Amino acid sequence: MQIRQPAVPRAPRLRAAASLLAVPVLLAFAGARPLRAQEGPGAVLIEADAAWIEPGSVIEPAWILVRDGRQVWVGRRPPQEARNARRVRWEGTVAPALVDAWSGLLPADLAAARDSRPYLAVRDALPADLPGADPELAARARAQRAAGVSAVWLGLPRSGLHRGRGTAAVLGAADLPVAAGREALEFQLGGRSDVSGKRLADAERFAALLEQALDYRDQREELPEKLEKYAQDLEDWKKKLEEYAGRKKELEEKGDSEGLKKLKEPQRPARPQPPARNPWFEQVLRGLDGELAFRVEANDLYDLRRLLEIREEHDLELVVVGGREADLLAEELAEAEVPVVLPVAANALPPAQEGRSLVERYRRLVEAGVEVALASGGSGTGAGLLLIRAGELVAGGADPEAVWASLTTIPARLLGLEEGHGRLGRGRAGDLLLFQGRSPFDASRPFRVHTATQGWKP
Amino acid sequence: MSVLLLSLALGLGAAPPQAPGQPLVLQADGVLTADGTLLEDASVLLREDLVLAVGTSVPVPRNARTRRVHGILAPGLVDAFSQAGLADAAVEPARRRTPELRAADSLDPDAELWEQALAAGVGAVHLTPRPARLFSGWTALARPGAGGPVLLRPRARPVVSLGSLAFDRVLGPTALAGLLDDFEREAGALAAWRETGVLVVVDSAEAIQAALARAREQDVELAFVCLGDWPGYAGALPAGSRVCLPVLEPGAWPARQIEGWRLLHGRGLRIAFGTFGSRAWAPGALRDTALAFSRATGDPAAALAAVTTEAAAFAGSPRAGAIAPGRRADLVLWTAHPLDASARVQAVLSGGRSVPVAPPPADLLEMPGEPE
Repeated sequence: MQIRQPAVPRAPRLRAAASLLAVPVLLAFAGARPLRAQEGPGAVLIEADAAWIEPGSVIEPAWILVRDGRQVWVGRRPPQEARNARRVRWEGTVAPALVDAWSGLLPADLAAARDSRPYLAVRDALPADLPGADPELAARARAQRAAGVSAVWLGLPRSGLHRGRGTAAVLGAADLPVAAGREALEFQLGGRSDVSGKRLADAERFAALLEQALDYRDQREELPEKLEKYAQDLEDWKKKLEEYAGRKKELEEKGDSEGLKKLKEPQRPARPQPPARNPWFEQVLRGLDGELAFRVEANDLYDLRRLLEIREEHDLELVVVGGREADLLAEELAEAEVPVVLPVAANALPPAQEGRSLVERYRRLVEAGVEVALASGGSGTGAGLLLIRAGELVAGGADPEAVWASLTTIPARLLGLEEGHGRLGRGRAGDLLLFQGRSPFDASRPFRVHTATQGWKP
Repeated sequence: MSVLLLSLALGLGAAPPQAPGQPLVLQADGVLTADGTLLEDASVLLREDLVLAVGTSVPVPRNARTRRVHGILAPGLVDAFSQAGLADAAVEPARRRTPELRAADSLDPDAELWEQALAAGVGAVHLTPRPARLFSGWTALARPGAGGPVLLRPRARPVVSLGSLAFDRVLGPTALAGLLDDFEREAGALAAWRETGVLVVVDSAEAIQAALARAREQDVELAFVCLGDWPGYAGALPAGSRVCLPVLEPGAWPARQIEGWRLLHGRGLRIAFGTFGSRAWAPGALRDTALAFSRATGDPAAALAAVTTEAAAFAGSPRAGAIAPGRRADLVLWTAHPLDASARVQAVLSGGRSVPVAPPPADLLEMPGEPE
């Protein structure tokens, strides 16, 4: 058995002495209250052989206390305040749960939506995290959890340039995704399969969209100035109108019909109108202002190169998703500090492109200094492949620490969840991977997932 | 180049050629035994294409050569049901019954499959005729080798198809009812196959029940190949049945299929995996599926068996799929346990002979596995 009730943890001597002094006090209360009631029902103290804190940082042995869904203690010694937590011994290693940088874990109606409005936000369409709110989605989320995933990126799976606004999410107590972290504007370049050449224009359409959004802002920003001028014109018009009325009266009194014919009434100036409100342009402007990132799925070299030019022109915060040929621009991506989300499930290359396997492409990107996040690929069902493909990257010569970072710290940062996910530490989410053997990639050894919101299940 | 690397990895590079009949002892960091147990620091005694002994204290014959290799020695994986590697679909469209058709006769020695199979650590492939006729023909067992595939059993098992693939608009039947009616009338033919047992291809619970009923009457052992939406009907299989399920398609992780594995594993079925058609085949699909199965069920031994011993038994081969005395010397040297996704094939011994595998990563020479 891998899990057993451990011996009482070693505590500092001072603590032991204090405990002895406390015995009479405890005995006095023993009949009045249960001894095991201090921690929440889900509090669990895990004693493990080791813990992977983050890539490159391991502690041995390790004690991790999870309470109320959060890690409240991670250290080489047991915490002093967890005597009543459920204790389990894990003869192996504890690691943080994975972060899937591109998942399709969406409600079925949202995933199938044909509504083409580009400003739709995933965050607004997620069900409440309540039991029974979306049983089908909860079942898929449980499969993600079983694969070791605790946080995901959710984007609309549209084929076309505009994909709306995606969001990061964590898996909640009822196994439903709960929006958290960052949102981003999502686009897809070259996604259409027509042969008319339109797909090649996607990058230009994307560039044009940014320009249109800036024009829209210019128009809105010019309005106050125009209104100010309008107010002045109105004053001028009033004066001219008074002059006109006086002159007219004068000519009428004189009976100068010829003069009256020549006299013209001054025209009232037109009030400048604001441009029609465009919610999509307004979201794009939020991206251009750095409030939202741009996640752009682009696979072909042409699109990727043009995307980098657009990024430089507008100083975009850009994340490349897909990146099938991103390795061919690895140095440029690294220099521009553009991260790449590489799907492990659906990123196959034509057979003719030998030597450019996922392993080769991953290695080239990482060696060039590109931040690479691994992802299941937007299908909503591929999370189980994450650890398998990651292990194959290691087998192919990729640096194990880099691969582990691509599953944890890097996607957590890209999703804006770095404070709570992707590494072990006090205050972080209590979803944990527990594995034996060399790494979590080893399916020949026991492996389990501790879900913080659902407590320890033997 | 790859031959050289392979030889180095097996520690055979610096040694003189092995004399015919000379025993060879491979001492490895670990050896996976037939029940999936990993024996650490164990040895395998081989002579020609036969395993003579396995264990942590194998007696070394006086004339034996001994080589130390770094990594885990595992049996070659077995693909339990495949139509890849055949020159055509192994089917006769003009005839309603082809009971004597042999998949072996369609074997394509030039198919890319064989090289891919070696690189993926596959030691044997159970080749099957296309199950497009009630009596489809005979399967064959072949192993990839240095000079192409080698037929091990040209007539392994007969195939009976009770699935929709056997519908034929021209020759009939065109529906399950007609197919089962044909089967009822001709089920007496099963008795001729008591010795080999019969593979029954199904895609419905009705077909399973019909096959089981006739098999009981004829006292014939059945093994089932489940096509189509098998999670929806495979629950009709009784505990202890042998069943071949398709590998995961590349990039897929269907939750329904994963749940189906759990259900069938929990019911005690003896599961093997097959790549089925060429479309699903990809290097490593067999092992990927075993990895996923291990994670899904928490039973690494069953996962390994599904692509080794159970798959070999499904193919009717008593000598493939395990490192055990009397079994074929089809061994694969992995850098770690083959169910560790970060393990890779270092070298392959097929029928007792080292064979070149696809070009390994450039840094293989720096990995454990170099000769001491």
